[in-house]
Amino acid sequence: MTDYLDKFAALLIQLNDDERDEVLEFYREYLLDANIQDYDDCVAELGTPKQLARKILADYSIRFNENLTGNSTKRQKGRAGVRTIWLIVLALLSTPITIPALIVILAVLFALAAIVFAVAVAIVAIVVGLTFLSLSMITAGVGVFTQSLWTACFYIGSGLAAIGVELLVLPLFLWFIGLIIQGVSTIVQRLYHRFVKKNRAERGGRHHEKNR
Amino acid sequence: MAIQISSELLDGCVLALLSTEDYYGYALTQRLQASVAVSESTLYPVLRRLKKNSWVTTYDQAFQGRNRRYYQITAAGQQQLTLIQKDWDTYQNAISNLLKGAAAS
Repeated sequence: MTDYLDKFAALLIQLNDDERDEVLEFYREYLLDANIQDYDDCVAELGTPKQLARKILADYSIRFNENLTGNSTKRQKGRAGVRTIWLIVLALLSTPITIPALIVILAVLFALAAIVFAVAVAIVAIVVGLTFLSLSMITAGVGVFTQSLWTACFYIGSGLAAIGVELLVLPLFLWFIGLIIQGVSTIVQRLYHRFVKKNRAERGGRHHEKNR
Repeated sequence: MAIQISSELLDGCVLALLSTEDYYGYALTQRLQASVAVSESTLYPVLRRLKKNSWVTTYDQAFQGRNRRYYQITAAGQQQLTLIQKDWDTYQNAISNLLKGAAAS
């Protein structure tokens, strides 16, 4: 039982100490009252430590995320969004769902990941390219300074202007990335609700038959 | 039993059980499972939600050298229970009528 709870506790690092203690204390008490000692019996009762932890964490994170949407900065939202996506992917992988559903979910997740990756690469490429261009323009400007003052001024001015534009546009990019993460998070949450809720009913049904 | 219990109803069931007596986690799970199909790991999120809404409070009691955490319904919890009972009555009547094919009067 102790080894089961230790493993479980190790998977709850995202929770703060109070929350973790409360969850652990609840299940410790539960297993003591159920008089369950063996690791395997714990798994039979509550699922593997991973399954239990994912269930708890997914429950936390979804509500956490819903609470956040009201009053918080974009950046916090983005972070919570990433965390939600990750936890829900884990929760989905830990639940036994039918193969077609799994394939659909994985395909959607894969497509989303590909899109996000493509956009991220494009944005990084633009930023890097623009920075490189403006730096080389400034360098060229300084290089021809002695030959032609006006050419030099043109190059240096263009370079600085490019950097200025970049600095202006950068927050827009960041905002855009945050928006994408939010969107993906919402989609993944819907997937979770759609498939896992359905699945829990099936599992509950089987449980009931077993208990009879 | 293919019908899944919604979280609002689960809240109501737990509150109803707690309105008769105080329960600790394991006893509450057992009592609930005697009536409806819920998995052993479902109850913690429910109790956490009830506590967060101040519908239940907890207190610890020593039992064989360790603690048992008992859950107790609050006045707000009682109100919530009444609300859920009312909602359920309406809903139950509507669904029953539909399922039995009775003409709505």
